[in-house]
Amino acid sequence: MSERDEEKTGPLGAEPVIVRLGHGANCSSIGSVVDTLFVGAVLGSAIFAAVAAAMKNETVTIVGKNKAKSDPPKPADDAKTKEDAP
Amino acid sequence: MIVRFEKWGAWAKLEKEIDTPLGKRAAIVGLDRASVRALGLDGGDAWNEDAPRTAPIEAHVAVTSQCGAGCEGCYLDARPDGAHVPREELERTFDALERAGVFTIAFGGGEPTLRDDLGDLAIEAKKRGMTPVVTTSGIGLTEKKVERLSDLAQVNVSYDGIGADYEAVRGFDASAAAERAIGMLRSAGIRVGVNVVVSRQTFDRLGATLARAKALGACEAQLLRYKPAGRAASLDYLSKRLSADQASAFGPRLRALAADLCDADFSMRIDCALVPFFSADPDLAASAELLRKFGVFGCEAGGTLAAVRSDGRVAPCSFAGPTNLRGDRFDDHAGDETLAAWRAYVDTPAEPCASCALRSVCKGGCKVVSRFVDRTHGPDPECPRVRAHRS
Repeated sequence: MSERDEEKTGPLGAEPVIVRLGHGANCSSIGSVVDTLFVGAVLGSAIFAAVAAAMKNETVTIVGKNKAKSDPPKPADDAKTKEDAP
Repeated sequence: MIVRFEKWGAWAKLEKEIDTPLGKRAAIVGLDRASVRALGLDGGDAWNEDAPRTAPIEAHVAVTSQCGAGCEGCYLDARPDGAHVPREELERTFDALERAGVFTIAFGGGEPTLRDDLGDLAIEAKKRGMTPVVTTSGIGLTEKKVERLSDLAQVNVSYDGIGADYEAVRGFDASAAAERAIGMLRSAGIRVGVNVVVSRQTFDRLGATLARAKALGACEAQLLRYKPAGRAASLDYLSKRLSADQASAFGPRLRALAADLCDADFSMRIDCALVPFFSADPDLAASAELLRKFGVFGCEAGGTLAAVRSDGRVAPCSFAGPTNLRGDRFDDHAGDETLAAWRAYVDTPAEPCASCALRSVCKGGCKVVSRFVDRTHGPDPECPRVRAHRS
């Protein structure tokens, strides 16, 4: 996978939906929670469902260099679209 | 929820911990474009073909080069006569990290708690939308110092084992100080984890170390591979790195440790450099999709991760040499040639990385190790698959 391809598909490849749990509490290396690798498919799906549900209750703040072109929706405007969020 | 658009969609950092089947957890989520649109958002220019690459989501910032511990394998060669990075310089770096949209800032050093203003630095990071965390040896930690840490999302204490195991990694036994620090932080209501460096001498007793950390009140253990950087970049490294058998046994060992210890109150993390050891575990080696889904990162140096050293220069990771980019220009990350070169390895890797099922996640393993052992920016020579390929 080239860097150009990676920019289109995400840093970890073609999988578009990623959940990283926990804080990156370490001064030296990027750290990844691995409990999730061993919990099985059912619990794994439940983690994704929990994240999707939590996203519906959070207001959106855009950060980074590309934030100027996009305004976050008002909470009242996006009830329908949030149903489609992962 | 803090959202940063990427060419492929967006990263989103949830601002509240969520209830998951594994307990309450913070989360960073990768969303594809359709999911971003479903939230009523549009990436705009960030989704254009020629949009520049975005910055890391995690930055490691050394706030001092001073440390009196004298660990034999200190990867930064921190010393008692080191110096604190000037506050103004750090805040300029924080400004650049904010412009770049970095999510997490991990303070390191040297010993960060030697700074009287560490709590103020955490507040400054939070003002800029970043989650501050820190790692400390715990040596010399007092209740007054602990009070200053309340704005940090998590404090990790370096804890490589009980007694002789701690000494085997660091050259002296300060495990009692580390255990005392874990207890003090826990009593103060601060989320505390442990950093555990895994070495040849301590590998077999990893379960006892983690069980002890959990009993002391740590909520998380971060396992770290011993790396040849700083004072550890010596022949001594060859006697402390994991043996070939230990590296091959890492996946099954991790699975067993997770079954024994992980629950709603305790989780385990591994660092980027341990991912190549999954190649010897048939199940994990065939699980690249699962690793991607749960954001298990291999070498992200210069990509999702970068570091700012105590001399103010940006580096691909905390163990790598510096670039010419300074921290206060961190948001120019995309144009730096050295960072680009570190990211580029995975595009055209040498065998056996080229045909490895874990390639897109592992990204060739730890280049700090390959640069030290093989003198090349190439496949991780301690990866079981690389060892087998070369034998």
